[in-house]
Amino acid sequence: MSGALRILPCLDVRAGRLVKGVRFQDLVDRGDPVEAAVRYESEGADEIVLLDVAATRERRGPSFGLVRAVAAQLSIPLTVGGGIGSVGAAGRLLGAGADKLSVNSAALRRPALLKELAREFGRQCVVAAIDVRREPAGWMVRSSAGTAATRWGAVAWARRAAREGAGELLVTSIDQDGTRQGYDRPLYAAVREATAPPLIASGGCGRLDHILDLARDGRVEAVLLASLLHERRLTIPQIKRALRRRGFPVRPEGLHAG
Amino acid sequence: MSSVAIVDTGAGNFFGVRRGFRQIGVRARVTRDRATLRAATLVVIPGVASFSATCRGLRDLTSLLLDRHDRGRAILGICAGFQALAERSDEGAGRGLGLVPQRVRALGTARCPHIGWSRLVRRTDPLLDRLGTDDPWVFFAHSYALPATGRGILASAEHDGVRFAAAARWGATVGVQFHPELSGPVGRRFLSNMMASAEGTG
Repeated sequence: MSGALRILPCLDVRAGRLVKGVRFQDLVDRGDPVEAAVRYESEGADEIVLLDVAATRERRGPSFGLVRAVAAQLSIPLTVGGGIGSVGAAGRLLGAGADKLSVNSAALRRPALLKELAREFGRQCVVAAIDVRREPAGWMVRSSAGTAATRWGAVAWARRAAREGAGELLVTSIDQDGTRQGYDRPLYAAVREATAPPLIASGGCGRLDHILDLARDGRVEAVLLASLLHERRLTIPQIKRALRRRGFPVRPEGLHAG
Repeated sequence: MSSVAIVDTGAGNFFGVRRGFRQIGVRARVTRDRATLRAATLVVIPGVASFSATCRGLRDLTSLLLDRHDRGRAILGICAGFQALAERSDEGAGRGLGLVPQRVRALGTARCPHIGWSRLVRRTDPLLDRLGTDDPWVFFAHSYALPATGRGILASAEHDGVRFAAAARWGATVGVQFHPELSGPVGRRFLSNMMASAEGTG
């Protein structure tokens, strides 16, 4: 990999507060998202991801006020997701300071949305978020924050999303999410094999070894981390030091390379 | 008093670019007003969107921008705004400012688009000075780029084995393929260098 493995703290928000659940359930308050975003940038986060976990269920988009408040403080990219269903809503979020848009359920309902967003804002702006659960039939995509089944297999949907216009794929394993048992590595190998856009792994990280395993596999360009960072069980400097020590390039947090 | 005018191309990352200048203590306005664009210390052509959309957004301002360039008044093109300084692009229809007789090419990498941080390999130039001791990391988000070598190229970067132009300077006109406004402290330092350079020429 020529670039650096990106470390992406994920801020799941509901009603303006940072929350985190296990397997998408049982949300617990974890503080102020603006403070968290600023802290993570100063610690060396490569991007910030802000997901409004209740937006789709409540049939609305992410809060513009919160996006603006977070974006105003950053000088690294901000990806925003949750309930984005139209080019108009997407444009307003970009105007409020989002750099990329993460689209999930709305794209499953209407895949052409990805094409429309890519045409309007460029595909580098469009992240397809894909929530995957292992089922007898294989890796299946779930929608609406994991609550609803779809007819899509994970690899087939990833390929379709990329063809429609997604510039990145954020693939979350629902089975692994919040369990700290490690990533679903075969899932990322399978998606990588079938698609070209950068791949972001999410769900299951419990310790440094899990990230090092992914780095060795070389199938993903970024990892999305939530509870692990919020609970300070691991910090970004620890992760980056460990990667660097093993020869994987990472971006240093300040002006000076380590 | 220095002033920065960001060309309202109708499709750009205005929020981020304005924020980037605010973070180095400079107020930037998003505008198409010709007097403002003529008088500004620095005019920025923002990125995001496609080559065609960016060129379309510049169409009636081409002669104003070329006049600025001829008079040695600073212009900074970012990402698609950098590409719009060239002539044509593989990406689609449209004519850039044509400051260099070059065509923007598809990266053609297995992993595409190129989204993430890569290192700048740079020539010595005040614009790229004090960005840290080693080759500095900056943030890219693109599928197309100008060739890594040629007149005016100050820095290149690499993705998936393909090297491409990351920064260039033709007179007082500067282009960067990376996003300084999204590149943390390195990006802020670059914008400060850019302002210093623009004030020297303006």
